Amino acid sequence: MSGVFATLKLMFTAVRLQRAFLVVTSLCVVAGLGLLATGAHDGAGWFLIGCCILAVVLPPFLGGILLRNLSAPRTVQLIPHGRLQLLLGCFLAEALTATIPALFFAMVAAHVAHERAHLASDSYPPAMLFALIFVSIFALATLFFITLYYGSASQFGILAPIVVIAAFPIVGRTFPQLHIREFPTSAFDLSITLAGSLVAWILFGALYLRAGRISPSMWGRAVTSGHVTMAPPQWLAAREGIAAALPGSRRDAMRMLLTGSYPGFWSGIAYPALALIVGNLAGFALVATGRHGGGLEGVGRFLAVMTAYSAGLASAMVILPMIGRARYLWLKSSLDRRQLFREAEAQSWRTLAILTLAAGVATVLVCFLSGVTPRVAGETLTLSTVSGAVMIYLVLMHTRGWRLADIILSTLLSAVWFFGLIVSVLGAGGSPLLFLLAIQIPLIPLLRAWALARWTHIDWMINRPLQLAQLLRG
Amino acid sequence: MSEPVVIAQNLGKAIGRDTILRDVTVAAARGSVVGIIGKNGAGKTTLMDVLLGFSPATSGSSQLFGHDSFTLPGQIRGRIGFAPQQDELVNMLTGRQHVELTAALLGRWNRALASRLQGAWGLPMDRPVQKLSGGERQKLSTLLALGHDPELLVLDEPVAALDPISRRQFLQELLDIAANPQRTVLFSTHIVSDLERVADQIWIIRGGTIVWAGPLDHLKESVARLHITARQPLPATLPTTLRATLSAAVPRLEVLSMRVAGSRATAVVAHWDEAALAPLREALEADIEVESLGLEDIFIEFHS
Amino acid sequence: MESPPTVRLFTLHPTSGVPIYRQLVDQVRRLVASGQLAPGTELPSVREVASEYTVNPTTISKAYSLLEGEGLLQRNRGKPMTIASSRQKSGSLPQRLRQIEPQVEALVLAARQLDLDSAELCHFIGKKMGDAS
Repeated sequence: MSGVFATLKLMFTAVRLQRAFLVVTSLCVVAGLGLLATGAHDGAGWFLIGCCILAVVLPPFLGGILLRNLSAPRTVQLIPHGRLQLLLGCFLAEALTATIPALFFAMVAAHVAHERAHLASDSYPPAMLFALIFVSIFALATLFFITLYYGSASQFGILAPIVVIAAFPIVGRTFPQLHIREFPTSAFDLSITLAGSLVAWILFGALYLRAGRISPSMWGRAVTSGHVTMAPPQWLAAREGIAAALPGSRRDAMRMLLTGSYPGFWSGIAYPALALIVGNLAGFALVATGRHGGGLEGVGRFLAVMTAYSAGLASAMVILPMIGRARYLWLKSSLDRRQLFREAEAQSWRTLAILTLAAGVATVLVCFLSGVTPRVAGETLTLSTVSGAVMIYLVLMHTRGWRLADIILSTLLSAVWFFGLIVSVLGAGGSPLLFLLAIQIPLIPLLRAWALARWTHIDWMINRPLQLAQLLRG
Repeated sequence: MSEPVVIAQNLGKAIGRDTILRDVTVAAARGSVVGIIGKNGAGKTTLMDVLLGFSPATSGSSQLFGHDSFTLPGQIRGRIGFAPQQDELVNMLTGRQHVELTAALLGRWNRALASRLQGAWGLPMDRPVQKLSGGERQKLSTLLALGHDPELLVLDEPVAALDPISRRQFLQELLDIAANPQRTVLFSTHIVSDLERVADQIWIIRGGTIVWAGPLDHLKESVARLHITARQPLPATLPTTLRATLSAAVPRLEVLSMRVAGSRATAVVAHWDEAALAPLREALEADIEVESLGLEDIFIEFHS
Repeated sequence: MESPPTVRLFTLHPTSGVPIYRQLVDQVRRLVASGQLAPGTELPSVREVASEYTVNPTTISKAYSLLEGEGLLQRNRGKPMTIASSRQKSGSLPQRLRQIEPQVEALVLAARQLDLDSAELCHFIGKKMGDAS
């Protein structure tokens, strides 16, 4: 049964970002413990220890996808109890995901109760708090795990978790007796919720173990293999005659090889764009239906800002594989490295434009629905577009891995963007906004020149089109 | 040698601290078929990457058609057909779409050749590539490399996943293409018997360096296994004696391996010369039988 | 297009230690010496042989050129190569002896291993040549 622990370990170490989180949280926890031990800055100490929650943010979302990819190879079926071990590993991982925050908050509550005995009657007893948080998070983690496991099997799957989130308020409205939108507080509620989660696992486990051939995740491949980012589904292609329309020109052919998807409306970009709009609106609906009355402006603004900035991030994810894929154009097109850079750049701008447009639509809608002033909406969009542009060139520069310059630039720019985020959320226009724009706009030509310089020496032995196996190995 | 199409001079390639290629000096003349053999990880794919300009050399130079590889002009690159080991096909597209894509990019396509190959190989052209088997993907990859009548054809393990019949058909096509004296072929493979049919030059790569580069016929004629039967038990110092005697007779000679047991010995030598036979017989007071080796055996001996 | 099945004239082993061109040269010599290829017989073209045996035409061409140089083959413009009609004594005695040197060496080695001395061997050879003529 060593496979169980191997899987458990893999769930927390497979993805590079997750490993980074582990490192960061370990440092924070150690620092926090240190602060607590010395007795100075208790509050900061607890905050730092609380960062341990960061380590368990990803597994519920990535877990389902990882399980699918781990189960896909045919050899897993030959290993005795192979699938069972994988399943148990995932189950334990999700349980751990729920345990850690629960434990943390219980410890805080115990500490508070210990320190300030007169508040004991008001606060939850630690045990109760633990149970509450554990059961709630476990239920949510289970839900996301299963949703993403099934969702990642198809290209449309990206909409699955969004649908699930959006379903909450709807179900809550329709069946108020289920109390879905509140935390389970009574022992009865807790037991029911926990039982529900366990039943879900058992049912899922039964279906999973008996499933025939498990196909690997569409997303892992899409994001990391650089081959195709969510091509249109077959039925659409057949109906629209897209296959016949391919590829009319050299330009289309180049675009197809660079982006790995069909040209035309239903290109790979349409899906993230759609997801941005739908996700944003669903999130807003979720929050809005919970609050009967006003006070939506803050939430609206927050969502709008997050959406606007995520356009830049989504663009970056689409652009990064282009560096490796430009290899496919080296022999086939007559473009030299400088010209290939310009092609990739053109594609990147096109991607950013489409995604910013989508994000813009969503942002404007949400702002309108929540009563945010147009000025704030405008500022948000301006700032996020400029950030997106800077992000394009930062990504295009990434031809030599993480050099010192890359690390420094990314860190500084991340700080700037984070600051920009805060500025937008607070709706503080004026000088902070101008300051941020003034920093970023001159950077654009600078980063472009740098990226171009790097592209003239691009080495496609190092920059191979990414493969899923590489992602899992880290 | 007619003008060389591919030239590498003291080519070296290192990534970080790993030296992958070291001091590679080779040339391929126009119209020749060069077979490249080497163990996995010996540097075949890297050599191709550097020669074709995907990757810059860290030392030395590499030229194709008289131009530096890294900055090859676009027109010349259009005359090259490359089928890499890891195919560069887009999963969602069908074979036919790939052909159209390549034709659109290069502006050139030999329909007759392509349909003949398709037919001979029974390639399903209207199925998405991800639904094709490994062998079919390889055939498609090769088709895309050949289909635009390239002047230089570079193939990295093009037949690894093919059954013997498909392989024979492929070799036949390759020979037809190579028959044109304007066309040059570089191809790396593990299937040594294919090279023996098709190649006229052989490059052997070992540990990032070229240990042999020259005509296949010459390679076979100059590597020999000597079966030595002496009238008296051979001295334990035979290896040294043999080397000394041989270098006296044939200075360039290299002993690749030697085994001694009692009064019999077997030695595999490179750069063998018939003239050395008589003096060797006298020096060792032994009967010597000379056996010539096939390419696979030669390759193994170079790695012993 | 399948060409009509031909009776294979030669046996070529690409994986042998002997280069293909040499195999072909040796076989043609033997066939001519034994009379199986009479003077004037047409030989298949380079392309035909290369295609039939799936080997590089350069090696076949090399073999044919060598044989032409020895006087065994005759190039006829526009027509396939033929066995030379006037089989002039190609080369001097040492040259001709050199051509059968490999076989003689093998014979000498075998004889030594079987403890036959040169008189016994020569007698045996003489008998064989008498039988053959």
